[in-house]
Amino acid sequence: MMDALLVLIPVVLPLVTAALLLPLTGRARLQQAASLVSGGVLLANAMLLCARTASGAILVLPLGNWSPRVGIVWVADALAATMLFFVALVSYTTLLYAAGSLRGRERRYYYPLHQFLLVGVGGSLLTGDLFNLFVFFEIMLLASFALIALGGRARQIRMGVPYVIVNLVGSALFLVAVGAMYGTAGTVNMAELSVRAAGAGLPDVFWGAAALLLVVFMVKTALFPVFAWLPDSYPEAPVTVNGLFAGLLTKVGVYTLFRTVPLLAGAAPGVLQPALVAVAAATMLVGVLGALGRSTIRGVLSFHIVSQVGYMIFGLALFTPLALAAGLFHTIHNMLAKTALIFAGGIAERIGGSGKLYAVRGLARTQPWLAAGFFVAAMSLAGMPPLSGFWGKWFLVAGGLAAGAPVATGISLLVGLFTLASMLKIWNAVFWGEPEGQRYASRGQHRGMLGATLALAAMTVATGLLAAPIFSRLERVATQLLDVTPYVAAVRAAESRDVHAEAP
Amino acid sequence: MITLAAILAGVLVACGLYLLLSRNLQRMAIGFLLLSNGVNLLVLTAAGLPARAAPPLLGEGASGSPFADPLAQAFILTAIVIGLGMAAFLVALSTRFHEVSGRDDVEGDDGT
Repeated sequence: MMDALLVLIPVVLPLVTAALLLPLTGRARLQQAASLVSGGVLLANAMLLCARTASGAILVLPLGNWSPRVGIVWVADALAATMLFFVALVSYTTLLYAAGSLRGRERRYYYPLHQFLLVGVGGSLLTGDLFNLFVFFEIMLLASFALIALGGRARQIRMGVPYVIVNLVGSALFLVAVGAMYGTAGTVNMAELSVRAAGAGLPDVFWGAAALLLVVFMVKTALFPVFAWLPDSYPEAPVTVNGLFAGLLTKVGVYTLFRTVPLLAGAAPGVLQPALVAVAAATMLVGVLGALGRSTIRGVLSFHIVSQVGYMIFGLALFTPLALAAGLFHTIHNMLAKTALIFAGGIAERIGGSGKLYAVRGLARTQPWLAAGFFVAAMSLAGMPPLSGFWGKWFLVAGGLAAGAPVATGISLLVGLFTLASMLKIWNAVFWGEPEGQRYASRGQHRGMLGATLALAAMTVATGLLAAPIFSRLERVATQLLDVTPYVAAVRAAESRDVHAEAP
Repeated sequence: MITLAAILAGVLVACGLYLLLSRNLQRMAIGFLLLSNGVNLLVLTAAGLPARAAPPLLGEGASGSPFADPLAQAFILTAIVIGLGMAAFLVALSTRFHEVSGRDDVEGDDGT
């Protein structure tokens, strides 16, 4: 019973909260307070779930008492629990930031949409079958569509349209792949699919569908060559939304890749491995070069998301526990550091009244705390010790060399240098030099905005200092991911068990 | 029957994609509707269309005759609802864009 609650809360609680927030439209303070309470419960729940799954236990909840082959199952293992914890953390700090950052029209509907987005993210992390993954992706997308066009300005809508259309086509392809897999394998449950994929005798259509699924997840994750929807649309969204998306959305794509690729292809990666390594290397390189070419603060930071996603997928592509754990560590690091950077950039944008580089200068002198928050997160992203980004890269380089991928590892180090260059570009333009163009200096003093930024920056420091225990936990997660037998066994065991007998 | 359904799904998807490539938001909305219906039909077809199959509403005792796959139908029912939501969003988006810009076509990148 307790376990069932733990698995249900990450999806049901945001849904209930969203429904309760809708009648409160126009009362932003009350909405924020309610969201924070709900977010706190979510965070506590995620911690309990992490503790419950730490020993390798896998919680399985078959809904409606159907067999997992045809019914809906929710599965919480160590990976899902870890991701849920960091999702809840980023979501909570975003709620703190939102009060000062949202303006006028945006404030009316932000909080319910934030909760709907969490429903989609939580469901995507916990679902055990591909069709429900599709459903929760759609919930997440619909909320994100509304969030990205929240301001309702013409330019915002125009730049958001490619995001909407690319993701809609991606979802259509997702459904095609799920349909074809169901038609050929007779199930869409991931554990059952894994068993069938490991055995011989599946027709080529099944593997075509699996390849299509991989492409769909690549689109959602913004990997090379299907990333172009991201860099134009994200910077146009309100800062709060930009930070939330940077922390959550592409990372859910990363999660689905970490979840499905070992399950479907873990036994014999074959040609998939070099292909994924090449995609990851190209993503890293193109993302960082694109970021260097942008001329607004959040433009640089948003394009940079693409580059960082490449690192995470590089870890996955090597198929060793060490590299997989490194990829996961990088994911966690990035959720915290990138959101902190976008939040800091957003405050700078408010002070200067413009997001263009060099529009506002010398913030290090007038806003030392803001500058400190940005600096810590930027150095973390660039991989300076002892911050979290350094350990992410360190483990990844170790994993890459151990797995025999020296070229891609070299590229990842080179990209690190470019990352430093693009962070320094923002630092020089916005924070260094004589104070200039700080037209609305008082706007930088909002406690919630500054607090959220500094909290995230402090968390990247903490993640860096606690790298050893976190990484050893992630190594266990990675081992569990690569060895799919316990996962499959746990889901299949749910079939023979009566749900009502779960209560102690 | 399967061939016919597959061809129809292909035509719907092709028309949908063609319209989605347009810069006019209303054409995109129609394109999305065609695309999602084509995909739904494809899922139904992929699950098999047994000839003279009964609808999956039979009681316990009525075995023997083939019946249509209820799970595929449940998938599509869900997908139709989601498609409706997405289409509603696209229409709302095009209305709002027309309100604020007086136009219906989203021009490409303006260079910034």
